[in-house]
Amino acid sequence: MAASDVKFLVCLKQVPDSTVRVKVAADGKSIATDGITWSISPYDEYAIELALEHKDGDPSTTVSVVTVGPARSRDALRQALAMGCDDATLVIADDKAGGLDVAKAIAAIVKEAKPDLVLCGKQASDDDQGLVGPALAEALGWPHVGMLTKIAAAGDGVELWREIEGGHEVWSSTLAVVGLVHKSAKEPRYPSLPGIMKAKKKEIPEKDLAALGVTPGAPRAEVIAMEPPPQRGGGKILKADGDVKALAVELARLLHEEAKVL
Amino acid sequence: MIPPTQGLWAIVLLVLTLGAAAVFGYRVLGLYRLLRLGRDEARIDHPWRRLRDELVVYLGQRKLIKRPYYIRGVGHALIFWGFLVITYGSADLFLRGIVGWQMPLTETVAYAWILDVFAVAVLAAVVIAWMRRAFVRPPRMHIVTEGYVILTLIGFLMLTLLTFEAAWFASAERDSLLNLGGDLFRTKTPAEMLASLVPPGAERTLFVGAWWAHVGTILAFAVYLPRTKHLHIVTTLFNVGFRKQTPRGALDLIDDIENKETFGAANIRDFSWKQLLDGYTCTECGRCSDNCPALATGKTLDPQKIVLDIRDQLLREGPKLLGDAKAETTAPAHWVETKPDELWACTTCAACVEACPVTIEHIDKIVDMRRSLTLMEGAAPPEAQRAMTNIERAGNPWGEPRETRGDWAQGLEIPTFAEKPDAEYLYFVGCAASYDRRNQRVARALAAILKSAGVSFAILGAAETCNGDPARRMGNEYLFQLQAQQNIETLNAAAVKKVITSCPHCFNTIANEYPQLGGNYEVVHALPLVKKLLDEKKITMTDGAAAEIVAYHDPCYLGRHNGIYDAPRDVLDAVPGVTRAEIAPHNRERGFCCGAGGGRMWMEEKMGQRVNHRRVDQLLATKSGATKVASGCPYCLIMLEEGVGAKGVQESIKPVDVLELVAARLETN
Repeated sequence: MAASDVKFLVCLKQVPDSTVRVKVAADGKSIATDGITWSISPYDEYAIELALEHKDGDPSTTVSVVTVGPARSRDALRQALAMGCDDATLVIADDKAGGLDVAKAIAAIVKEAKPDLVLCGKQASDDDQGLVGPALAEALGWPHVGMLTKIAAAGDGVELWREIEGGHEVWSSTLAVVGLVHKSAKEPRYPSLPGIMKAKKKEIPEKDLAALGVTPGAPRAEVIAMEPPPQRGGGKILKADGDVKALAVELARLLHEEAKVL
Repeated sequence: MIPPTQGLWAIVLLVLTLGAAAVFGYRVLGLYRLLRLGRDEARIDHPWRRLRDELVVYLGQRKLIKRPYYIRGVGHALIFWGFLVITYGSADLFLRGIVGWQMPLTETVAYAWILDVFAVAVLAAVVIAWMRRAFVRPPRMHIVTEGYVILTLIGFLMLTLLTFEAAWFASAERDSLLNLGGDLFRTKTPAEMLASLVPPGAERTLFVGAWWAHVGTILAFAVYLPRTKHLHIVTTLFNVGFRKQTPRGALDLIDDIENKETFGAANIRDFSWKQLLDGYTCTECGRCSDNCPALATGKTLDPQKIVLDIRDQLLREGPKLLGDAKAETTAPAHWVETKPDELWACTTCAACVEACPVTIEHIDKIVDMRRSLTLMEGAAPPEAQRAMTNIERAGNPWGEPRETRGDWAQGLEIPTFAEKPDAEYLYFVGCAASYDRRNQRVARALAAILKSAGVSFAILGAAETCNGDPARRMGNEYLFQLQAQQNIETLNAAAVKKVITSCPHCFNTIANEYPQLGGNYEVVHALPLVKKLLDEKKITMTDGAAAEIVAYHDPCYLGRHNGIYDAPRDVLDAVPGVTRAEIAPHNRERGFCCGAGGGRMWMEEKMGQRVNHRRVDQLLATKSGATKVASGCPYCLIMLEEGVGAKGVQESIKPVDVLELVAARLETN
């Protein structure tokens, strides 16, 4: 990686906050969004944290953020700015824009901004598709590495640490590269109040898909129905009336016949 | 008593006095200028309460004579009152010595008596204080040479006083004194008794020598004083007079927060002049440290050290700042003395504030420094950040869904304000009782009591959000204000006038802090309300349950922060079959924190023993035979539950809320 002036672009998505109890909307194929709290998808937050940690070590680093989504996504970008990102771009698109269209839109932004590293969360916490990152790398013709937990400069390139079962794999790559982030060592930072105030005043330029040369194609996948998981029934409590042996027999019978685990 | 300052000697005394006064004045002025480096803060509200404090706390020594410091407190009071009497005499010595004016009533037997008695008492107290430092070191008291020097000076003052008095009595007739008080003072004064020891012929020499030694010591004392912790004899007068008169539980508001650029105390200039005055006033007695639950359980926090760190930094860096207002000072991340670990260990339990004899306000300083860490640097511990993010996003520190806040009330026919807009009371449930399964039982208990008593009440349901207490105490004033404004809007829109809380933290914040943001309600904690309902015979309990002993644990935000000690005990005493036990000596104003206040509930506790485990140790040590420990706070309940579990005594002693004991015995009609 160059000694200074490294440019990061972090792609983020605004999703329903993890504290929201999601309900299915009246149409039966989307979620009810009335009055819910939105936030940056958690893996994207880790991606921001990784980029900002690099900036902590080298202040010449710039960290830009971009999102493709409806107008409310501006709040997610403000949050990223409050955390310490330098600038943000909002690409206005329908909530239902497909992953490939989103990737194409970001690719157009990348060609303009010419970042050295593009970071995405490994997947968004709402639909869990994990499509945009790899699709973006494909659209750009860049290498991409997934499940990142650490980024370290190495010569002209970069060392990318990815989590595997029981340890880490270290990959090296030339720049530019797309990284899909799994986690950061530190929890994503809490914005300082001056950071929040500064973020409130920052201009966030808005673009639309057409201006980026993206014409939304016909959807390649369609949600047919959505339903909440079944209500969990209450557990069964066996009362011990002194006869422990009978109790054990009954427990074994239930495990065998009803739970079918024995 | 004619002073030995005839002719030229009066001029010598005048010159010496002026010289000492000049040095004293110069040093005090220096300290005053350093003090003015602090930010402005108005401390002139409630003048009558301030006057009362001067009489009770300063003159009356009220905060010195307290559990468990009665003997030491009386010792100090004797020195202090003696000082007042003797200072009156000193004024007489100087005035008469220089210009020949006499202070009223000093030429009376009564005054000689009082003066001598106090001189002997002070001498005795000084000897005891000296010995105590040398042989029975009080825990955590800073023993410095300075202390010995001052004690020796005071002792020498008393000896010289008694000597010249004795010498005077040896050569003069007591009849030359006005016999004020008649026969009351007929017997010999202590100095008069010593008069027979004065060698005949040496009366005059001894008188003159001791007189000058006495006067000289006073002047030396004045010169030395501003450099020492004994400056507290002067600063306490001001520190008491300018103490906070707002409720103890209320932290200061950061006004106009959206337009400020710096928040909290990042350097010495960010403390208010009063906070700096606290540093000058600290006597290093260590009572705050003695009572701190964090220090007692092996954390690095020491409240006395926090106060002294600020003083030391002011004395070290202040002079540089006086020359150049923009000079670099140590920033919090590089603080030489106070480390963030110390600041985050504070539970804001106010044991230190309660214990301080000179009304130092420790919590405000700690929170101001936390404000700097949280708001300026975003440097709160990760678990604290998680709690704050949860409050922001879900309206509760646990991150439970906003929409399910009112679910605890399902099936209980508890109306929301939307359903019952004319309800007399709002029950502000709070996050713990809304989401924590154990505390939901307390909310249900309170609802049952209120219904049984015919109290008209409603809840907000999902429209309620965290009152902001944890955020504010973690230093996140911005988040606190957002939460408070949101609740105030909701309450005002529902035209709420009266609020009940079952959580002392909700109570403290809504009652004492919401008025800062324009939210004025009549707020009552459930236990004083239940006490009132019992007095009015609106609650009847059945007698039938087996007799049990229940220990009462004082929640800090009911007790020390809001002075509610008796109502919970009265309620407990009214429960049929319950005998109350005290967790003495750690009860009432000396109650030991459960460890969860100040946002500590959501932070990890890795250093030393857990505060709640220590509390359970104290509970078990009383051997009261209690099978339950009752409190009036959801945090205390959670911490005590965890504590008895960890100690393996959950079968023999069960934590409960006082409300649950009442609800279990409600007469059902």
